[in-house]
Amino acid sequence: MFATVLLAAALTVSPPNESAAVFANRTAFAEACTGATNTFPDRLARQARTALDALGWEVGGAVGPTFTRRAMVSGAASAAFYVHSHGALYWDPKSGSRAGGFRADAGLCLGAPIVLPSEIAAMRRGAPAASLVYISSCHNGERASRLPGAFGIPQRKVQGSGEPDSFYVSYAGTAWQGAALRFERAFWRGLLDGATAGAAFDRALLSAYNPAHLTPEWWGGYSHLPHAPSATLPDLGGRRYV
Amino acid sequence: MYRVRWALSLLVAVTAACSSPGTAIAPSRAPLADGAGISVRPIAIVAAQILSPLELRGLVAKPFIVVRSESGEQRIRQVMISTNGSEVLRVESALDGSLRLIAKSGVALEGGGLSESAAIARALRHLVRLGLEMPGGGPEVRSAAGRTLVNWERKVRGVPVPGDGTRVVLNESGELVGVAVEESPLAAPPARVTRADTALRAAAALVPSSALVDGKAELAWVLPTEGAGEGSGQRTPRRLAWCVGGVLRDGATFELQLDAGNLALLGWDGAP
Repeated sequence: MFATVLLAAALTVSPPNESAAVFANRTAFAEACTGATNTFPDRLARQARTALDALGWEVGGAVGPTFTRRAMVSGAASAAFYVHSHGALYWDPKSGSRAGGFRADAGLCLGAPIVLPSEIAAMRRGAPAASLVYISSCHNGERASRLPGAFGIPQRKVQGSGEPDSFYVSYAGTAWQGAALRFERAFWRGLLDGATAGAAFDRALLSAYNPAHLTPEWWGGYSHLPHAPSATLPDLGGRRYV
Repeated sequence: MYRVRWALSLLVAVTAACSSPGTAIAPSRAPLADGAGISVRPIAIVAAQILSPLELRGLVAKPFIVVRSESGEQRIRQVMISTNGSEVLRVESALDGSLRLIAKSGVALEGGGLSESAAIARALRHLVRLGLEMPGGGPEVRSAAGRTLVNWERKVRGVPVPGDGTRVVLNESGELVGVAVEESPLAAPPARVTRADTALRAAAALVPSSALVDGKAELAWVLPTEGAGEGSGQRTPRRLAWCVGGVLRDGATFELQLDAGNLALLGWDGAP
């Protein structure tokens, strides 16, 4: 009885989910696999990690071979999530359709395990919708990708009343790393300047990425501020968040 | 007509500035920072040109700051905030006073959708209204996340400078979301440009034997070591390069960038 009361009390006072996870596939883009040195995955992950940390999240995750399917699935329960990897509309046998997803690293040039939306949804069952999800890959910004739904984010853009406290970003079609680096840098800078997620996205559209190499897409709430619930807001010189 | 609009804009700006708290920038052509010799267009002028009188009510300009852009250029940044503290407008100018960035926040998402020709017409109208230089050549129109991007890519000696040029972002009703003007420094081109077929052979020798190299090489001004290093230094000049695309064994596409003169590997880009 006492133990039950203690457990109930612990559940009641447990802090909101403050965890973020950043994953990046390094191996598939490494010199051994492609013939050229490629620092994009590390730089993209570092940008995301630095920004999420500054937004107050406790950042975990993995870059390189430790980014396994298993590590990813356990990190998928986080409230803020970033991944950079190969993405496509992979076949999901559970749903019998193409559903999106991305590859883990697992130290493999080819044939790295695929993480499907249904697996993420199963891992997150019962969890509230994620605050910020950034899938830095090809194709997961397309309507056919079920990744937004797996993180509890409906595929619609809401501005004004009834905005969800969530924001999902990814790319439609083929996404080039050089363009993604510039777009993402501008997006993170926007958030750190105190912009809402939608305004940060708009500002990133104005950054010097090659638009022929990237088609960014978002769903969620335009005015969402994706900082950790208990985070101290940055000093914006007298401005306050709205 | 344009003069009348300009005069009206100025009048609105004066009204907005006078009805705002003391930090509002007066819409004058006076230098922004006399001591520093900086003379840029005050944000109140820009605000009057692109915001409605209702939107202008209560806006306050923050003191300007000097920042460095993504491409490393030093800029004057001016910001206008609303009474609730949120940023409504951002304007960045180069130190010579030329406008580089105008970004509005919270522009409505809904709209009826723009045809390509209508998007170009609206973009041009915004550029004229802002007194910006008309870019040369035909623009490319793209859609992304309910916004329309009208891009005039910069070309130097007929060769594209990817990411550089003038970009106008509109919502689906043609309302302005922002304008960006980017102009990276360029290194001197090599005295002699290598032939395209030589560049193709050099690229084929660099990639794994299982990869397929496209049958053509194209010239572009690229940032050296963008994909292979820790990023170029501030204002690193772009270099003339042969860009050769291809496909890896797993189907992923890539692009190698080789110095157009000596075929040294300058950079790499990949598509995950």
